[in-house]
Amino acid sequence: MMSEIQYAKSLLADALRLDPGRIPDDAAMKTLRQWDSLAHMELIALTEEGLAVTLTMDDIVRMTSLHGLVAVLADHRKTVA
Amino acid sequence: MDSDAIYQTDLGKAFRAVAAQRGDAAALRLPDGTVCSYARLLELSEGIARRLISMGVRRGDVIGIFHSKQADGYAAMLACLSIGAPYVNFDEDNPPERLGRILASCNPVLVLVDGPVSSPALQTCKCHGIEVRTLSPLWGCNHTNSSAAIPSDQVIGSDIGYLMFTSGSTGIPKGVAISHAQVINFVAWARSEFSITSDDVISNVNPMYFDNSVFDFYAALFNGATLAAIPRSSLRDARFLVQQVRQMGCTIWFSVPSLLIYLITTRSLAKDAWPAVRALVFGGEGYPKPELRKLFDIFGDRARLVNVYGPTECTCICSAYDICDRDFSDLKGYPPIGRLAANFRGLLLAGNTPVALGEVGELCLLGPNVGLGYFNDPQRTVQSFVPNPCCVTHRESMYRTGDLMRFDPEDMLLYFVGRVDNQIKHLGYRIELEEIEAALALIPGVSQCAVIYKRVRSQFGNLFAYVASSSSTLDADSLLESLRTQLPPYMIPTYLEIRTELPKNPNGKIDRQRLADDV
Repeated sequence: MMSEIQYAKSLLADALRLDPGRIPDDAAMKTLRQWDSLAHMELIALTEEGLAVTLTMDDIVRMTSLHGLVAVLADHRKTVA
Repeated sequence: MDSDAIYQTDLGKAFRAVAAQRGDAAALRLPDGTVCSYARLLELSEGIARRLISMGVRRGDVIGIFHSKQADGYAAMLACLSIGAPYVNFDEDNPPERLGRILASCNPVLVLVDGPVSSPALQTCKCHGIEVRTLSPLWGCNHTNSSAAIPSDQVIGSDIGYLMFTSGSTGIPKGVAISHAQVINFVAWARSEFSITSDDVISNVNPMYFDNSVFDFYAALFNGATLAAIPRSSLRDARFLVQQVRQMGCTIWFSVPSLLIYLITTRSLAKDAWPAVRALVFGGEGYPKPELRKLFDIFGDRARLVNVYGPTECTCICSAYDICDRDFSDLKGYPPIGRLAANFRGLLLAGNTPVALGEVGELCLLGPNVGLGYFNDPQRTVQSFVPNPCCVTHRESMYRTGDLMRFDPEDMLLYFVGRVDNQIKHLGYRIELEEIEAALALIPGVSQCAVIYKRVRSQFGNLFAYVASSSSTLDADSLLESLRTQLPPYMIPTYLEIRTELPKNPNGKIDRQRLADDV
């Protein structure tokens, strides 16, 4: 089964059109050139689709790094569970 | 505001008339919270104008500006207008090669800078032998001597006011030239269309090298309103940007749809976010209806939502359409372009023949705001600015937009259908796909290439590049890196794939449709 960080990397890779293996653990919107506002909008859409939830503004602000995305995914899974 | 102020022969006089009336009223609201009055802005611009004259700048000389939305940058534009020196705002993110081609094409006698600029951009200017001067409040001081006085009658309406560069299919960007008289006409249209008064605060979120900024700058400062300068750094944080627009008290917002969609997607733009805004104007690209519906739900009951259209070659805007409920009877495609403004006429042509009512044709624009052509480029000018084939009595210049449109006889509105060529709009930027292909073709080892623009998942399209190469040393990363040295960030493909060969159609040309299907 895919871990939370693997799932987060797969979402991010999909949004950024990169190989998941090329997403570093410390990936962040500020440091990864491909992670621009357009890619961020795709990431929001993919995450909402994947979790079948509507993200809040706080979620979206937290999702600007891979670690933040992992935390958002974990929070929503808890809510669903 | 006395309407006569704008009916001047040149923009220098027009601004002096507005400034004389508005005096200590706010002309600029600046990012640091300060305000620059009309009187102060005029003083700054006259100081710069005198300094330019004392340096030997003459009417017709082109002045480049790296503009970071400081008061000095706006004053420099006004100074150039007052002495009849066309200004051109540059994008510092242009890689040296592309900036170099732009510099070679317009040949500025001087480049002015109002803030920090990247060193490659400055270096490129120096390599082209162009002097760069940094503006400051002191730069224009002590230039009140009579020998450097600003001549009051040397500028005429047909003089070029500004140049605006846009993508060119040959790989060389085109510098659109717009005259003083055309801008004055545009200012009058904007005032009438949006009922602009001295109480208005117009956002300037558009970069100054981008065509949309023509509306911000001129519609505000030449109608006695206030211009709210929003720097590029604010765009990095959607919540901060929304807050800044609110604090500045903006009443009219103008941007590309993608920025509004970004603000809504990130949940930064809510119903109560901008209480003072009375008109949200958007243009530069289509606004997908499902996304537009969200904006309508937020603002539709209390602000005008206006879809504007216009090529850079025709003084920024040539039509405005008010979004209404019936536009959402279906959520497919984009809202209509609407009707042409009163200062334009249009023809829908197939070749040189008008199409029948309801049929698709290329929109060709006529009227006083059709620009002067491409600066220093007669060859490309005569390709796009052509005589009206339907007028046999006299020569009338017409601009072929390349946009395919349909005029619906039922609602009497124009609808955008597509392009006659490979030009696309990406995040509001006009891109000739051939310019990207020309840059790719210059890279050693690339034998063939094609660039596709396709909407896959998100509200917007992405650029996909396909390269044919037999070289084993080429890889996608190095090709993209090489492209970054030639093209600005918004022209870099999101995805690049190297193949041994590209698919061909029966005519032996690259089969773009098959590549698009592969995306």
